[in-house]
Amino acid sequence: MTALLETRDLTRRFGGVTAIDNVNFAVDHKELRCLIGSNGAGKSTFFKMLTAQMPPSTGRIIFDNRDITDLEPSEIARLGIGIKNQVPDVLDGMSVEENIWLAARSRVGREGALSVVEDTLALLDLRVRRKDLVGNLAHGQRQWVEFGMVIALAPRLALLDEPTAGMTAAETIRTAELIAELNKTMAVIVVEHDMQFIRRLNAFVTVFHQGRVLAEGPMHRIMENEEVRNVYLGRDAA
Amino acid sequence: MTPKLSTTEIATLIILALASVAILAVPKFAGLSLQLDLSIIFVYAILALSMGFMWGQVGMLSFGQTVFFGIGGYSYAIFALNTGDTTTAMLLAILLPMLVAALLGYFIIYGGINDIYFAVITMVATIALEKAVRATSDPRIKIGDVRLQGQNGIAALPDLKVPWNPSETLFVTEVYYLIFIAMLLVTAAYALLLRARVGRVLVGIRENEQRIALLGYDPRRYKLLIFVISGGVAGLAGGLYAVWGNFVAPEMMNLNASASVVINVLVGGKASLLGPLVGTGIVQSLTSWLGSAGVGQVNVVLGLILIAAVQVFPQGVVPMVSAICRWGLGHLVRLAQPSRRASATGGKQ
Repeated sequence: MTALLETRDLTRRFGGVTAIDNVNFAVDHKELRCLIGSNGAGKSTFFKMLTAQMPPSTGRIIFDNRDITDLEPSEIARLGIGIKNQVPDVLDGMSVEENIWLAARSRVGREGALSVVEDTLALLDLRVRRKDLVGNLAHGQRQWVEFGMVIALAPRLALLDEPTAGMTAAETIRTAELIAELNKTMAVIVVEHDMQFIRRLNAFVTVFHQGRVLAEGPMHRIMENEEVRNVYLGRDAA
Repeated sequence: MTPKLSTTEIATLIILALASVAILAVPKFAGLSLQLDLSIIFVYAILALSMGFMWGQVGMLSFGQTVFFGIGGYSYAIFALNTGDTTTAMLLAILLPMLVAALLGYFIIYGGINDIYFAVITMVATIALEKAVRATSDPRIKIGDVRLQGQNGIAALPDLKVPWNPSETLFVTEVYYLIFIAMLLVTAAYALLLRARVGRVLVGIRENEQRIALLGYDPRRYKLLIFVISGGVAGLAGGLYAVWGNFVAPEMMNLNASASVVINVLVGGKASLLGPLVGTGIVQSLTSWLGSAGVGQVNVVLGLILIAAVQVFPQGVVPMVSAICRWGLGHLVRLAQPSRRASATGGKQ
């Protein structure tokens, strides 16, 4: 079986800086993958290119055997890539349920969308806040709303950029459970800094460093990798 | 999602219903001159709504909405004078501006022009067309048999005829009713649009265009759609203007006209549909009152009043009044609470 998503020599330059440098990366159907790397390693830039929020300088992106490099963000979403951006990227002036409804309604009909909204609100425990404006919610809850939009979109590949940023310990555990739940029906790529969280997910890990893939492997192997420990994890991390 | 009517929507409906009763009764009490004055306010209100909806709900500032107003007016004038068929002329007054909006909007929106550049380009469009029409005073410039007559405009336009009985024409009072009903229908259409999926996506675009795209909606399609619809509404206003005064002129599209649309919307408030209507009513009444009160420098005085208005209620008159009403109602409800509870239980028995 061919990979669900593949990048070929993907490169992004900002002036003289190369944020992503010839990255060849592949994720299988229904795979769970973690991306780690220090700040500036290029993880968010990579995600932005996958969703056409930013065009690559060179290289191609293949999704489900189709070259999506030159597509519009809306077309990529319709093909089945959903993203939660690093900074909560929500519709602040609309209610929680409307945010999720818009995600659901883009792929299913009137009736279907209503039931997707109910399911998603229940899953995220957001039913009591459904009428609240998203802009009035706390940071962690706005993260949940954006998470909910990705869930309602039911993509084949979910990109989650730091889903636990600003969350409490309990919320973080719940997020790990939700990701495992999502992963039953879709491939998920998670960008994270929280090592405990990544251990909990028990996923295959790709390490980015200065725009390149430094190492790939299961978490315990990554932790043993001398190079990774030097550049990213630091001496006392293991 | 088809949410139940919100308090604001119910309040809007009540206000519109009360205003409608009053407005429909006007011809019973008042003379033709008041009917004419009110008719032109309704025409400008339709124009303001077409601009205010895009600005307030979608975040698209069309500074040159008058370009479609002008094309609508001239479409009616030229076709009606050529053929005498005023029904088709009025349809063209809607359709031609939509066509122009589709072309202009395609290049602006698919060209990725946003925000202030969108405002500038639409403004340039209306000024450019105004200058172009001004330059048609040469008597040889004709469309069909109709001379465009440059800055003098085209006068003596035929009255609107009853579509199913062309031998009968509409006079002042009937035109007054027609324009008012058109305004109500346009408002209702925008309100329904706002509740539909398209409307929710448009509001989503105002909130966060990138997010809407990442949910699988192409924002450009939706923006072009509302630009074309609003171009048609502005064109309708232009056609009604031509019927109202039996006259069209390049002034319909000049900078003054396009700025006054923006001012009407600003004063009333762009967040609601009622805002542009109320704002137009206030500003237009004020303008004609200042003119008749012998102030002299009408524009200067009007300008000062507008600056003060924007300082006092930056969100516009309608949001300010509704906030006051809500505050007042809250107090009343709290005062009435004990007795209300008693009467509620009493009522059930």
